[in-house]
Amino acid sequence: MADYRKRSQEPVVPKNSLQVGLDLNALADLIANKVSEGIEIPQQSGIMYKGFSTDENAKDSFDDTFSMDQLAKSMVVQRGDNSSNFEDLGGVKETKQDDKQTKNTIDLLSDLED
Amino acid sequence: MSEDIFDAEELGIGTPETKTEVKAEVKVEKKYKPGVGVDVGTSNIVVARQTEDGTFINRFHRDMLYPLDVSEEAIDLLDRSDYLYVKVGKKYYIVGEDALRLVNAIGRGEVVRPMQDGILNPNLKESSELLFYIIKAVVGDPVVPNEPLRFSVPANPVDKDLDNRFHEMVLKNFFTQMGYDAKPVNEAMCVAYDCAPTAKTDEGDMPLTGIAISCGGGMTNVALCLKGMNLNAFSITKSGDYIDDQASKATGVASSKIIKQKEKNLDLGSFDMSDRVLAALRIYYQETINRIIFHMAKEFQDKNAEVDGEIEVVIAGGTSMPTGYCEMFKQCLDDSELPFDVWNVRHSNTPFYSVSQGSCIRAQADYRKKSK
Repeated sequence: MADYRKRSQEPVVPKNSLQVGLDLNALADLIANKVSEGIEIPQQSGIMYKGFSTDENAKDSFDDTFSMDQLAKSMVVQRGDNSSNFEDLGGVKETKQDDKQTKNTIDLLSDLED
Repeated sequence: MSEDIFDAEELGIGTPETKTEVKAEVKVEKKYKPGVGVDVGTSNIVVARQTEDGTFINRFHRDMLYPLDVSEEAIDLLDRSDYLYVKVGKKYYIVGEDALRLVNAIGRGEVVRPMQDGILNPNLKESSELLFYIIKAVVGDPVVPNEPLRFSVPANPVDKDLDNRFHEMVLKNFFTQMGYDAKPVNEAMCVAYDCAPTAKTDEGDMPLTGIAISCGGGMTNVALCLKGMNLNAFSITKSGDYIDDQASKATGVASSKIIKQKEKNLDLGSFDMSDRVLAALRIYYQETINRIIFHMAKEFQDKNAEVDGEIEVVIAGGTSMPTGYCEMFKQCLDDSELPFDVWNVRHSNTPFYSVSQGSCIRAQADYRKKSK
């Protein structure tokens, strides 16, 4: 019978994580030395994994929609003492399209998902 | 005011005593169908509504500004003229056609734009403040509560690392604040909704199927559509402004004067080498058209886009307005290879208004969907 207890006590090595054979102690020492020397360690975007592949790390898959949305909302606020001397703007041009064609297009688009 | 800076006669304005009284505009209330379309372009903002009798009412505004530092001279100039302006921080910005007139009359400085390459101008700090003053004045209020509004947005470009998500969010927030139920719509697809291209297949005509192209100031937008669905869309940042800039660099003539020449005298059907500005404009127009066709072939081939039968290409946008544009496009298309058979190339009946009208059609469809 297999010794499940023994297996569960083995260290868990995540897939696609640090490669086997990499000297973690040496790496830790290197980082510690760099920090203590005040030398800037190049920052990589994203979490370092998958064998430290530079290309993989360069792609930041973090979803920044929330902060972008907040920033967009802040852009709508008028700051300072802004003013204008108009309430409406622009010239007007009236055009006429084929009514049947427009109606058919609206019919077709009304049935489409967004 | 020092007359050597602003010459009243040259600027077409009177002295305070002779200033013409502006007549109040007579407003005729029209009954609009709910659903408004907005084309927020680099060069122009166009807003379309449709009346109950089917007429599109397009309100348009030239998206240009001429900055003036707040000074006694500037205040005096504005007092003596009918120029429309926005004051943001320590600057006045003359808006619209007057900006172009003023820069041509003064002969120095350049007009600035709140939009660049189809999105908010990152080089103009006050771009969002300025654009919103302008949009609010051109769009007006909703005709029903939470009225559907569609605003055109470009697809991400193939020739520049630009993400238009932020631009889209800023506009959506602004229209929402104005009381609209606002959604973005691809600019080229608007041209498809307005011009309704058809494909010829063995089973008969297929509606809203083909390639739609919107040739704007900052971008050219291209979409391949099938029965009203957007199959693939992209944009190219070298468009009308690029043509103006290149012609300006080649001839040493200011961009504002190039624009004037282009809008008044350019005929792409005749190669007039005697006028260096017109010659340069024609050369860059041809280059821009060839670039569109090159990217069309590449993009649609790369994405393995397929449509059965022969498709129609519809073209609109301010940059497509010079005489002979569509013929030049057809010629360039004949000299190239596309992964589709094209049975017709058609210019919009209303090239300048196609994007706004298409957005309006889409917004009306939204309203119908909501009312179901």
